[in-house]
Order: sequence, then C-alpha cells, then structure tokens
Amino acid sequence: MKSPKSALLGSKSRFLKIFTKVINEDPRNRTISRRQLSALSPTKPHFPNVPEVEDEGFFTVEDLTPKIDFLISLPYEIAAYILVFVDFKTLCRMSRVSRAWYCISRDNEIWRGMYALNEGWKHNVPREVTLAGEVDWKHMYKNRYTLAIRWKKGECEKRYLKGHSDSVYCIQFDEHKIVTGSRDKTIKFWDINTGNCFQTLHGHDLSVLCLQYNNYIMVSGSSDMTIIVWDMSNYKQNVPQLMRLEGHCAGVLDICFDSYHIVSCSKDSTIKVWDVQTGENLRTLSGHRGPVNAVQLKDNRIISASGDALIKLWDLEKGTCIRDFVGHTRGLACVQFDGKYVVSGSNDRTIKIWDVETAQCVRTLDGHTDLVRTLHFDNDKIVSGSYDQTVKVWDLKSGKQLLDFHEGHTSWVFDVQFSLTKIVSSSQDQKILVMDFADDLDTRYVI
Amino acid sequence: MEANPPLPAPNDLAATWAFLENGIDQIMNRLEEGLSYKRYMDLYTGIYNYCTSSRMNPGFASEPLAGPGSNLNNNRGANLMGSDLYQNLQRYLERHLFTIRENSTQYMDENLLRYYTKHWDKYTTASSYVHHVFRYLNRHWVKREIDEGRKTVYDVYTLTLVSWRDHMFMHVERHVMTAVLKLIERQRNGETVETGLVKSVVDSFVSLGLDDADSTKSTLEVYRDHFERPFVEASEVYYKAESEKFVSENSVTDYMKKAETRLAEEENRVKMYLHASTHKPLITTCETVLVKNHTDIMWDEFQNLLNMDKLDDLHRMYSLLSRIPEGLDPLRTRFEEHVRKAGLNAIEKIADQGGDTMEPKTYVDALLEVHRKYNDMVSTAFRGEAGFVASLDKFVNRNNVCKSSTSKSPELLARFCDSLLRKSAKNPEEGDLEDVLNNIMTVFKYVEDKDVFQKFYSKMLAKRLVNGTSASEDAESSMISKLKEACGFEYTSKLQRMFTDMGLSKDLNDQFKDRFSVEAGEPQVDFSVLVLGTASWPLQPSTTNFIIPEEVERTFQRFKMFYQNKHSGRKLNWLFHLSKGELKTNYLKATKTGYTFQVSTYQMGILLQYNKDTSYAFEELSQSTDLSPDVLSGQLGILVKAKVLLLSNGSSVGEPSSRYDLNMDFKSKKVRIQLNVPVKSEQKVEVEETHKTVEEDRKLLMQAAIVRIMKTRKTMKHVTLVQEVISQLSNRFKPRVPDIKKCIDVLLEKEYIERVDGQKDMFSYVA
Amino acid sequence: MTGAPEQRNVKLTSSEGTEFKVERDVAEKSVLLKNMLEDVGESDMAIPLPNVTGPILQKVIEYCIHHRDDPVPAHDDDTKKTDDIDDWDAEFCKVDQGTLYELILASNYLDIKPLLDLTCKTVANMIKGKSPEEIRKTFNIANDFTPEEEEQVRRENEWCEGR
Repeated sequence: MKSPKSALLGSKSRFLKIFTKVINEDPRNRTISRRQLSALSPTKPHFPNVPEVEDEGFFTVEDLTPKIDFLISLPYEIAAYILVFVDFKTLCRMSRVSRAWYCISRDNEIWRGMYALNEGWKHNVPREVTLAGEVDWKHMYKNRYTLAIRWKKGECEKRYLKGHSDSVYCIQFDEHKIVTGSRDKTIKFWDINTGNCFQTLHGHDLSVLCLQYNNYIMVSGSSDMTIIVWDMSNYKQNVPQLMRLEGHCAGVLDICFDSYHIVSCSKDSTIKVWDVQTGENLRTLSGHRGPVNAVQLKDNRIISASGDALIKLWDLEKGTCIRDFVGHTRGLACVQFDGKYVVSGSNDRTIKIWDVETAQCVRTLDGHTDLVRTLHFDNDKIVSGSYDQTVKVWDLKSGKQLLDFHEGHTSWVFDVQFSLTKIVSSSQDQKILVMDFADDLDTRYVI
Repeated sequence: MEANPPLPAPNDLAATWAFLENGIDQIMNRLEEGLSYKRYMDLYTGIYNYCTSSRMNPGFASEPLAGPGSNLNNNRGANLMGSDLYQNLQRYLERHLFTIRENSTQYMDENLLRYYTKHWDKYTTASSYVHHVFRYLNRHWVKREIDEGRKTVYDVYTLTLVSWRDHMFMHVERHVMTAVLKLIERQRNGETVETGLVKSVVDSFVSLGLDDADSTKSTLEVYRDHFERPFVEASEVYYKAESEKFVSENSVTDYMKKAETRLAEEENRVKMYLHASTHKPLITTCETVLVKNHTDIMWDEFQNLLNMDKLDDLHRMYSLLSRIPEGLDPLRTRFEEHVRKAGLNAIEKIADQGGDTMEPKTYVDALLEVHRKYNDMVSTAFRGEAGFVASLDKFVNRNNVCKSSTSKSPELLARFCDSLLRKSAKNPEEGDLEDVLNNIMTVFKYVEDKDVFQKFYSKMLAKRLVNGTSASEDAESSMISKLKEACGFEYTSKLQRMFTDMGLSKDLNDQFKDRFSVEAGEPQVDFSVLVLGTASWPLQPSTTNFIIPEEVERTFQRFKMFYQNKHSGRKLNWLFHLSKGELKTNYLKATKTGYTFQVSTYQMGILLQYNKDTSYAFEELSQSTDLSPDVLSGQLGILVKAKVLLLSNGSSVGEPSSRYDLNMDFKSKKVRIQLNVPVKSEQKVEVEETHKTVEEDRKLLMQAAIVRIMKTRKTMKHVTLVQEVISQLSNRFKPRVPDIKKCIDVLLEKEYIERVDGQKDMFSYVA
Repeated sequence: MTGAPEQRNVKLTSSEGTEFKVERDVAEKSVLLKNMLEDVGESDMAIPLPNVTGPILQKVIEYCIHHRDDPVPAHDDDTKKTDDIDDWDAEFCKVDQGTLYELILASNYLDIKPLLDLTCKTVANMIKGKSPEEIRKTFNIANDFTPEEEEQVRRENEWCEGR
C-alpha cells in the first residue's frame, strides 16, 4: 500500500486530467466502482482519484494533492460523525453532491440531533413511532423550519369563516375546531380544517361577549348579564347547558376558569369568583372604578383590566387586591398574564409589558393607531388586534413589531388567538379570519 | 505461547466471529493463562475491522433515489455493522452461563456459595476485558441503538450482567440464598464461618440491580428483593425464637445482656459483609424482636434495679429501650417518682429530728446527698439525658420541710450560707468551704424562688458586715460571683454594692479620725461609723426613739458636721438598734482592772444612766433614754439575765414601776462580757417580715415586667402577655397566673395599659 | 521521533513493524491503549498496532505529546462547534487529504476522541459554505446524478436556501 505521503510526492501533475475525465463520465459507468469501493477494507483506503495515467499537459497551480471522497471512504459511523459538525444548510447542499452524499446526508440520527439543537422546537413523537423508524427527521426539520420561516415572513394562507349575522366578539380554537361568540346571540362551532360550521348554540338573550372551553365544559358570558356553563364532552353531537350563573348587574365582559373556579368580570365594575362545580358565587372583588373589560386567572391569582386605566392583581382565595399596575393613560381593553409577565392593551393605543412582581412597566409597544382591543402572547411573541383593523405580531423580548396584517378585516378587530400554526381573529365585520402558516406542511408531531 | 491465528477478512462475519469466539473463550475460561498484547490487539482489531467495514449502502447508486419519507430504514443505522457481533456475543454468553449453571447443580450450601462466588468473580473480571475489547462496538453501534431508543441493547459490560442475571442468577438465587441464610444462622449459633462468601454474594446481587428504564443507572432492587428481604425475615424468625426461649429461662438482667450482645453482633454483621442499606431494616427488625417485644418485663424490672442501685443494668436497660420509640417514657416517670420519694424520705428523716427549728446545714446536706446520688446515676446510667435530669428538682421545692410554701427551701439555703460565711468555730477550711459553696449552688439551681434566697441572703450578709462577723472576704466574694454566674449581674448588684459601702465607710472613718485627733486633741470616745446606702442595704429603720447618751453626744455631733460638710444634701439616718459599743466598769470590786461590757447602743444608753445613780424605776429609764417600753424591757431583760442589773420591786422585767439596781457585786470569769445578744422575739418577726417583703417585691417585679413588655409590643393578647411575664421572671421565681392577673388589673387601674375596644383579652400600652 | 528514555515507556509497533517508544501517559491518550495497559499490565513487549502506519503513528504521537497535559474532556461534552480550533491544531491539520484521512482512521481506531473531533471538524470545515459543485471539486467527486435526479434533489432541498 502506498502511504499518503508518498502519494503526495509522486502525483502532483496527474490528477486534473482524470478529474476532467471523471466529471465528464457517464455516472452510470461509475456504479461498478462504487460497489467495489463499498467492499474495501478501511485499512487500505482506496483513492479513486489517484490517477494511473500520467499526463504532463495538465499542470496547474491549484491544489494538486490527491483528493479523497471522505464520506465514501470512511466507515459509515465516522462519515456520519463528520456531519455532526456541519449545519443544516450545509447538510442540504451536501445531498446534492452525489448519490452517496445524498444518502448519507439524510442520516436520520443526524437530523434528529439537528432538530434537538433548536431551542423551542419541541415535538411529541411517540417512542413506538421512533422505534418503528417511521419518523423522517429531515422531513420534520424541513417542516418545522419552513413554519418558522413563514412566521418570520408572515406568509400564510388566509381563509374566512362566514356565518354569523353580526359582530363576532370572541373566539377560541384548537387543532380540530374554532368556537366563536357573536352579537347575533349565538355561539358557533367550526371545523378548522374544512371551515364548515357544524354547531350553533342558542342560549344567551343578548350578545355573546366572551367564552372559554376545555375538554369538559365551556363557559360563556353575555350582555344579558348571565354566564352559561355548557357541557362539552360530546360537542360534535350536542352541547347542553349545565347551569346559568346570575349575579352581575351589567354585561359579562370576560370570563376565565380553572379546575376549581370561574372568574368573571363585568361592566358593573366587579369581578366575581364562582365555584366551577356548584356555580355558587364565592366572592365578589370590588375595587375598579370602571367596567372591568378583561380578566385572567393563573395559579390562584387574578389579573384584571378596567376602563379606569388600571390593572389590578388579586388574591383569588382572600379576594384582596395585591397590587395595581399604573401606567396606561386611558382605559384598558385586554390583558393576559403568564405568571411572570402581564401584557395589556389600552385605549391609549399602546401595549404594555409588566413585571407581575414589581408592577413595573417593562416595555411599551407603539404601533397601533387605535384602541388595542385584544391580545394573546406566548414565550416568544405577542399577537394583538385593534380597532385600527390590523392584527400585529410583536417580539416579546425585544418589543419589536414583527408582522403587520392590514388587509384581514374591514372593521374593528375584537378577538385574536394564535397557535403554533395559526392566527385566528374575529371582527365587527362579522367575519372570522384564519391565517394558516402551516398550510401544506406536515406538522403532526410539532408542538 | 498462544497460537496467533491471522486476522480474518473484515467483511467475513463467520470467520470474524470464529476468531473472536476463540479469544472470548480464552478470556472467559482461561484468563489465568495470560493475554498477550498481540492477542488483545488482534481481538480489538478484528472487531474494529468488522464494524468499520460498513460503507455507504452499495445499492444506492443503482436504485431510484429514496425521496423524503420513503424507506427510511435504508439510511438509518442499517449502515452500521455490529448487530451480528452483538447477537453472537449474547448467544455465546447464554451458552457459557448455561454450562456454569449446569455444573452448579452438583453443589449445595457452602460449596454452592464457593462455586457461585468463584464464578462470579471470574465472570465479571473477564467481562470487563470483553467490554474493553468490544469498545468499538460500544462506541458506535451500541450507542446508536441506545440513542434511537432501543431499551434492549446495552453496552457490553451491562450485557454480561444482564446475561448473568437472566441465565444464571434467576435460576440459582434461591439455592444460593438458602445457603447464605444457613451460613449466617451457623454464625449466629457461634460457629466460625467464611463470611467472605456472603460478602461476594452481596456484591454480586448489588451489581445485578440494573435500571430497566436507563441501563446506565443501577438500582438496589435485585439485592433488596432477593437478598435483603429473605435475610431480614430469617433474622426476625431466629431472634423471635431465641429471645422468647431465653426470657423464659433467664433473669431480665441476663436477657438484657444477651440482647445487647446480639444487637452489637448484627450492627457488626452489616459492617462486615452486607450492603450498608440493610442496616436500617435489619436493626429495626432486631430492635422490634429483641427489645420492643420485651419492653414489659424490662419496665417491670426497672424499679428493682433502682432500688438496688444497679448502675450497669440500668445503663443497659436505658440503652436498649432508647432504641425504640417511647421505650424510655415509663422509665422517666418511674425515675422521677423514685427520686422524689428518696428525696422526701431523706428530708422526712431530718425533719423528724429537727422539728421546726431545722438546722439549715442538715437540710441542705440531706438534699445534696440525694441529689449527688441520683445525679451520678443519671450521668452514668442514663447518659445525662435531660428527661432524667429534670427528675432531680422535684423534691427541692416541695417537701416536708417546705410544706407551707416553696420559699422555705431558699430560706434554709440562705441560712446555711450564713452559717458557713459567719465567723464561727465550726468554719470549714478554705478548700472545703469552696466545695460546700459549690454544693449549695447545685441545690440553688433547682430552687424556684430565687428571689427569696436573695432576700435572706442579703439580709444576712448585711448583718455579717454590720456586725463584722464575716469570716472571710474571699469566701464572700467567691459566693457572690457564683450567684452572679447563675443569675446574672442584676441579681447580685445590691450585694456587691454593700461591699463597696463597707470600703467607703472605712476610708471615711480614717479621715474623720485624722481630722479630729489634730483638731480637738484626744478624742473622748473611740468611734466608728458605717455609712450605708439605703437602696442597697436591707436594713429597717429603728422603731423607737433614742436619746444618745451625753458621753457620746459630742462625737456624734462632730461626725454629723463632718459628714454634712463632705456630702451636703445627704441625709443620715442613724440605726441605733444595729449599733454597739463597749463600756468599761470602774465600780466593781471583783476585779481590779474592770470588766468590759460589749453592749448594744440601747444598753449603753441604759447603763450610762447608772453613772448618776445606782437604781432606777422602769419609767425613769424610759424617760431618760426615750426608748419605747418594748425595746427597753427587751434590753433590760438581757441586762437582768446577765445580772448586770438586778430587778427589785416587781416580779418581771418591764412591769410598771419595776426597779433596776446596779449590781455592785457583779462577777464574771471573763474580762469581756458579751451583752449584745439578739432578742428572741425579734428574730421570728424578722423572718416573717422578710417573706412579706418578698411578696411585695414580686408584685413590683411583675408590674415592671408587664410594663416593659407592653412598651415594646404595644398591643398583646392576655395569654401571650402572661406567658411572656412568666418566661422573663423564671430565673427569679415562678409567678402565679392569678398574681399576674392582679398586677394587670393594677396597671389597668393606673392606666399604664388599657383594653383594646372590641377585642377580647387584648391590651395595649398607654404611652 | 521517539519518547525521551524515561521510566514507564511503552513500545508501539506500526503496521510495517517500526517501533515507537512513548511514555505511558502519552500512550494513554488513546483509550484503547489505556484500557489494554490496565487489563493486561505493563511489559517489555511491544504493542502491535496493525491498523496504523509508521508516518501516521508518528503524527498521532506528536499530537498526543502536545496535548498530554490537557484535562480529560468532560463526559459527553460534544462540542459541535467547528470554529474552536487553536493555532497549533490548525497547523497540525494542514496536511494533504490522504494524511488527514489516515489520521481520522487512526484516531478512530486508537480511540483518541480529541484528535478524532479535530480531524472531523477539519473535514467539516472543508465542506461548509460551499456549493455542491465546489464540494465536488474539493474532494474530486463525480456527479453521478441523472439530470432529472439532480433537479429532483435540488427541489427537495431548496427549502433551506436563501429566502
């Protein structure tokens, strides 16, 4: 066997010709040599590019040392190990080099590792599926990456759901359905994939202003001053009423609930806490001096936003106000709270981010040109909807505006919710807008 | 030399495995023959060559491209070589272990253990070699399998353990454990056995605890289920039988010795050859069987042991019972009762002898003796445990001598101190004195009413100092520093102040003497004064008027002038009832040089009248001295009794119109005659008064405490206030709750504090 | 080169029979040799390394001597970065592809993870940031796709490009 060093000394002038020859060769003729290659012992590396014919005519100043197709020549596990050190774009480009490179650059383990390197890219692939070899991690990566890019660029499929005969005040959705409440006094269920309305609930005597559901119940609040608790366990067939909570002396503007409590807020400037099982009104929180427009419950603390320009944090058990968040100059329309941050939208056209413990405003987001009516945020971003008819997406950490959707609605935006793949908004224009970022993407295991 | 077959071709599985099996077989069975570098490297290289023979799937080039999502198996781990080797190794291990297992059936008991442990050691040693030789397989093929989530693929060493567990351990563990338990039982029966065998079995079982969820982790599950549980169960059965039999045939004290030995043996067993985690279950079980199941007989025996002062057995019983929860509780109760009885008996004995006028020394000695005895017992037999120490104080505060109140003990203790510190023929040597004082402090610590002690002590100290009867200044200050140590600076500050006053008075007298020896020539009388601060000295003002005899009047006036000049604004109160003097007789024939009468100032006032006449009626003396009839008759009584004066006209001293003549024929063997003796009736009154002042002081202390507390807390609940008062005063005395309530009422009345409106039992401080 | 004649020397024999003497701690940079020396023990016998040639073994020893005092890398500290190569290592890797290839194989065989990482990173750096054509050129690889396949593969991977 020739040592590489001697090869280096002896072969300076010979290879370009062969190189030229090789690339002009019909790939089909190479097949046999590949087959041979794969059977070679690693202790005797084969240099397919070390020429056997000498030709003095092709002498250049380029790298004249012998070339080695590492991925082919090295044992598979080491070839794959090299790929651990490149990025996904390189991996993709590599697959276009040759048939062999195509194969190795699709190594599932490498792509699984590549996927795991991305912070926040979670998945719920079941172990059986992994073991059965049914996950194509490059495919997973591609879809997840494309989804991320679409969010970044705001590329989505827009679709309208029409059916309500008046303003649509509130929405909630999951991977199967969208549920909406309207000024037409009904609640409608829509198939999120087909866009068909498959359920219309009558029960409230006036506008349905707010709703929230889980797998078992739905709670809705209305201008008729009542709250209805619905049975969701068999929602495809029917959604019967379980009970009706009465106590507010003006419209119920927002509600939320957990396993034990329903919390509602009203134009009557109070917040009421109800037992989710019995419907008993456990306590009433007073303190706001204007209509309470939004309320949220998290870990036995309640955050509320009012037309009096104040946000209040309450202790659910004691019913006492823990602290006020002062800063908005006009009444508040919406608020959300994840246990650490409070994000609020106001008639002063700003969105503010607050630290819940210090009640200090961390950041103010300017951009909307009218009242910020609705917002929803997760660990990365805030999506907001405004009377300026736009839906905007903001970066939670930097406060930068990322996306701005102008064309979606032709009137005030009342509610907006988003998931990993969609933004759904509702408006006074009676329409529900579904913006799907994952259109034609496979997002089965993406969470 | 071993034969070195040539390396097989890399992609020839059959040849490669044959080559490897040969080597593995050598490692597994004939490692003692040694392994050359060459052989080792060849094995590693053989595996390396086989595993690295994987290249890109040869089919890729001719087949259509595998699009996304299609036929993923083609570009998964299938490209890695290794599973054949792994499976071959797995099968080899199974065969290998089958042979070992088959051969084991011919053995039993110790021989089986010897066989099992020998092969275990050999197998695991060889396995670690094999693991290393197969490192390339571990690094790549095995790693990828595990990364992909396969739970049934292990690194090679773990594979060898899993194989042993499945193909060896599972089949023989029952026999092995039977042998282990037999061996341990024989050792418990006193035989010498090879414990190393058990230790090896334990190590083996522990090693086999593999976490199925994560093969890199280990659990103790195998050891716990297959070794510890049967072992602990066997121990329980063994000791249950043994202890029951032993108890029925032997005394309780002998049983305790047995149990103690057994427990120590089992502790040792864990250390010697079991896994440390077995300590708790084993010892707990033994404690239950050996101690808890036999507590009744031990509790019953306790009193006997106490009665006979069997310290060793008591200690043994304590140690045994302390191992189980609540085991000592009955002992503490009984011990307290026993000590109390012993204490009361001792006091009763001396109370019978002494009657009402109990000699303080006898009392304290009796207390001390009981205390010393049981204190020794607590520290030797009961490890000085607080629960037992607490038993010691019960008889100090409530016993036969202190029937009426707890304050009798401190009084007697203070009297005892006085008897020790007062000048007396019976004063102990200095060294001994220190010991006795220390003993007093021992008792003192148990005394509840420390304020009573303080009262009496300061009273008697004052007397010693005023009368100059203190035996030793060192002893006095030693005692005070002991008290200070026990109760703090505040407790002794007045006592210390008294010593300061004594020193100041001495200086004052010297200055006075210097001044007047120069100014007025010779002083008429030898004169000395103690100026003592009213605040620190527990001295009562005189209850009677007194006309100072003219003989001393001038000196008296001079001193007053001298002192007022020095300290204007201070008021001197003369305590004549505590003063004394000496008179020299010139009228007696019985002696040429004359007698010296040591007298009280009152006696001096009376006797000096006789310079003018030799007989006076009671009324005349009363007028000339201005002494109250009580005091006068008391003093006269002493003088009459001493036959300095003779009662004429009248049957008893102090009667109206009784007369008192100077006895011109007075005779005495001594030249100096002590007439200044206390009047009996005075003493008793004094004691009662002292107790009464204690009560008054306590009220003030409680009120002060309440105000102090309320001032800092502003508002407080009744209950917490009471508790706080008790805790603040506990090193002085134990305040009674009704007394505290009374004090609160007083303070409410005086408007130091007030009730909070609308809140029950809540007080607030009135600023 | 040979190791300085000190105690605890280990003799290594390359595939063609050349003997190298190195100190034991240098040899133990190789997990293979470390395990074997622990298992079999020291002796005067030379350790045969049938898969490593003399020139490559010399290079490997050079690397191990330079890095003899490096701390043992923390378990599973898989640094995927390729821009953390220091000057000495970079210089060390300035070799022709044949040598680099042999170094990868040798470090893999001898189980010297830092060297394996270094050499693999070096190859990765040769691939990074290059177009398929440039990669082919770098390693002299023939494009064996049919034009249809090439188009298919390009489309399949265009999701990551530009945009």
